[in-house]
Amino acid sequence: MPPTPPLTGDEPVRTDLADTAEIAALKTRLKQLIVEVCDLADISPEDITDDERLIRGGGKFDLGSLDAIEISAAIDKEFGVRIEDLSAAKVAFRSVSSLAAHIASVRVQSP
Amino acid sequence: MNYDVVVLGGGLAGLTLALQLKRARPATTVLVVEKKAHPVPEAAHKVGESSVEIGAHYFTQVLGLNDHFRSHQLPKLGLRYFFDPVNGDRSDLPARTELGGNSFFPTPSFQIDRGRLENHLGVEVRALGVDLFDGAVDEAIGMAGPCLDGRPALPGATGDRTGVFVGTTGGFFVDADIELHERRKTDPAAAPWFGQPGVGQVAERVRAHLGATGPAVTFSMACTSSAAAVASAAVHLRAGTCTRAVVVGFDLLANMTVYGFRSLLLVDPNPCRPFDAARAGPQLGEGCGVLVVDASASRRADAGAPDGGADAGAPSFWLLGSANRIDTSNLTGSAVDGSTVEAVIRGALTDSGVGPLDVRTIKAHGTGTVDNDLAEGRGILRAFGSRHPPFASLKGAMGHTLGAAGAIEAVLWLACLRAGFVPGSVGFGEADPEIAVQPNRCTRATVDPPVDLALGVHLFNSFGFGGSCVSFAVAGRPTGDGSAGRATIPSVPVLGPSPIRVLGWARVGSEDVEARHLATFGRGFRRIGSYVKLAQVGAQACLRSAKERQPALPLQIGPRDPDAAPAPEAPNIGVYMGTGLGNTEAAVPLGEGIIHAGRPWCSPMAFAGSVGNAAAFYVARSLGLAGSNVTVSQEQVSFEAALLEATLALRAGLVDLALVGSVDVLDPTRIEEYLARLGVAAAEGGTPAAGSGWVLLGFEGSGPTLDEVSVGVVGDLLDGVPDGATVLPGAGVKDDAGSARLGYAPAETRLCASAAALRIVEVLDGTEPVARSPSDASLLAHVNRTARGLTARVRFSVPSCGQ
Repeated sequence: MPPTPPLTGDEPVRTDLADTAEIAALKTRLKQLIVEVCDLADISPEDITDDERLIRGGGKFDLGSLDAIEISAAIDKEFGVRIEDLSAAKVAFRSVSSLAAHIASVRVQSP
Repeated sequence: MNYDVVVLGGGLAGLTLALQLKRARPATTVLVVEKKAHPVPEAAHKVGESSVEIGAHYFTQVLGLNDHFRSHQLPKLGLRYFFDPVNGDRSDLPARTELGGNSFFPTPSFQIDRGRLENHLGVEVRALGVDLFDGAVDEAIGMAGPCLDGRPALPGATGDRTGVFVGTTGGFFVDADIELHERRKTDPAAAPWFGQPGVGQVAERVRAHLGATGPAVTFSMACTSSAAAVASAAVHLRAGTCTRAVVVGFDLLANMTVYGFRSLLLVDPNPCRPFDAARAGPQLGEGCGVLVVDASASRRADAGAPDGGADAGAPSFWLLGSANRIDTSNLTGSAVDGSTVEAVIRGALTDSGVGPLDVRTIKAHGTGTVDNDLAEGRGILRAFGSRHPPFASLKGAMGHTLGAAGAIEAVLWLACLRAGFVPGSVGFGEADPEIAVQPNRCTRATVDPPVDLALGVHLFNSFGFGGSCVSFAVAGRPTGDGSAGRATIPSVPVLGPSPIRVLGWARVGSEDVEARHLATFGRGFRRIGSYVKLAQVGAQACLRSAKERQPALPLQIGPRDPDAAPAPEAPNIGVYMGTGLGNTEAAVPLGEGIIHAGRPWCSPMAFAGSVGNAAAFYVARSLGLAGSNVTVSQEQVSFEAALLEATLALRAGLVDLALVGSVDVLDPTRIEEYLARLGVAAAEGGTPAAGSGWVLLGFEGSGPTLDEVSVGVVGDLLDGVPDGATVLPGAGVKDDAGSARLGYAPAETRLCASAAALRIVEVLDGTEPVARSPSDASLLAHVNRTARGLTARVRFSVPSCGQ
């Protein structure tokens, strides 16, 4: 796979990819992954909404930057998409929706 | 001090390269660094047969060494046969019948004496203006200490006792890496086995190699490992458990380390830029650094030997003191406000008997990660103010050598000071306004003015995963004519006037650890496995036991918020943990993911959690313990080694209470292989145990007294054990000569480090039926031994048995 072009962090979250069946499946899988790799014993994947803030959200999950690294490693393993650039990560890690959009857009750019 | 080219290794290849390079490009500045001192011995090595005609052409024509070869090396005359004389006498070669050519070949070849050639090359390259720095390793080894006097650390004259203190994160882990690769060539499905006897074998091998008889302890504390070994050596030398300490920092890069750091997004693809505004992490390195610290040389100097180079035995540096603090805020870093860094710096200065104004230079840890440099820079500012001493990180120049960094960087820093300059921080360019302080810039100007080693002290910082923070101080001469610093503190007997008591104890088996952990700590800890849980549950049960036995102890044992800061009035409790194998539960799947998978992958947090000191970190975090945190591994005597460290720390006043434990987990499917590796047949070996055993030690309270803790080499394990005592054999002493006195035969031999802890706790508890010796039922001794012969003995007096 060719290297992913670095993101600047200023990119808007792509919404044109938001409602396909592929994206819906991606979101479901991401929620399972998050629960799994963050060891969230008391939360089921269905409890996570598409648009709630994931990292340092102060809400029902108390996820920190290390969780973000763990999630991004899991995404790398499963989808072959690396989110190494910090500014790109800030955009991608806003929510499950933004993560799914990021993965989908990288796949579109480098199928 | 700047060179265009530095050649590492001034053997045949390095010297010829330097010669050829300098001939071709006279303006290029070249440094060759060679570990051996010139002249090297002749007639020790020859140059291989493969370098015959072509090699001769290169040496004589390309390098222009024809004169040297014609006059100082033997020309070859090809293959020759000598026939035996009839009488069978082989002594008279010239008299024999000889078959072979009678003139030299037109294309010459030589039988080359390597030492003679290298000595000649050394002269040639120097004549051309190449700087050849020979004897580099000898130079480095003799470099630090309450005395580092350059003598080899051999078991010396009467009264000398050498201790070995090793810091490593991986030990010989890289062997497991290589072995698995080899096995997979024939068996693609071969399971990874990373359960080698543990990192403790490094200190054991060094001890056996030197024939040292003092303590041997391996510290596995992430990137503070070898700094912790230096700190411990200072404590041991003061206490008199050894008269000379050999401190070794050692780490080799294994696949797991490389991919683990990469998964944490901590490795900068560019050269490391410590303290720079654009820093993006370290680059990894590997290596070994050795310091020899000699207390007897220090005493000699105190007794009036003139300092300086005139006295051949005079040390180069004095190790003054150290501090070890735990920061429980984060597994992978210290608090970014710099508070823990400030605390450990102040602790090291206090322990050294000096103040902030005495500090002349600071060897920073400076990994180049955003958070380390922020925490360290702010900590330096907090401890010293804006007019802080010059500091620098060496990691931009040489990479992060992980557990070896504390020792390697100390050696390198002291070598620079002795050469008269403070190193610059290679890679630093633009200051980070968040940090507010700047390291020493790497310019030629840093050489000038030269450092006056007679003045002040030098501070060495190390920080690591698992919240470990270690700092130690070194002086170029005894501070205040030897009256300040602790270099002059007389030996403190291990067993002082007030007895150390066992205030509480507990053991936990691996069976119900998940349920017990949930009941005790709830869901407050994520992504920890049963190894860490065993440690946490066992340690908490031990504190609970201590609180029940001694209600007056200021211990908090209920559930607490792990993110809450430890209470300010909390006692200074150190956690001392010994493990034989470490967290194999974490390491095996990590290795599997990295080596087995087509595309190497590892979980970042699983990697961070696999460091040796992670379990002790979680113990401290879950119980709100803000003291020091020490994790050691010494094969079967790991628990005893932890007990020794704890005892010395209590005696030295470094901690008020010491929570000492041992944890091991085992993969039941690989026990046979493990026993085979230890050289024990399964039939005679019994079952290795998994579990966690803990004791709380302190001065105030009631309970058994700890009469002796020794780890070292003794001729007879029972020497000094009172006649009436009940002797409990450890895992390694099954067929020991003293077995006639072993009043208690265990049903099984449990081959793990925690076996000793488990058994001692069982006996203290009265849960294990022990046939006590009738002559003095209150005395207990536990004796143990590793496969290579390191021995350990722990003695207790129990006021009333089994209560």
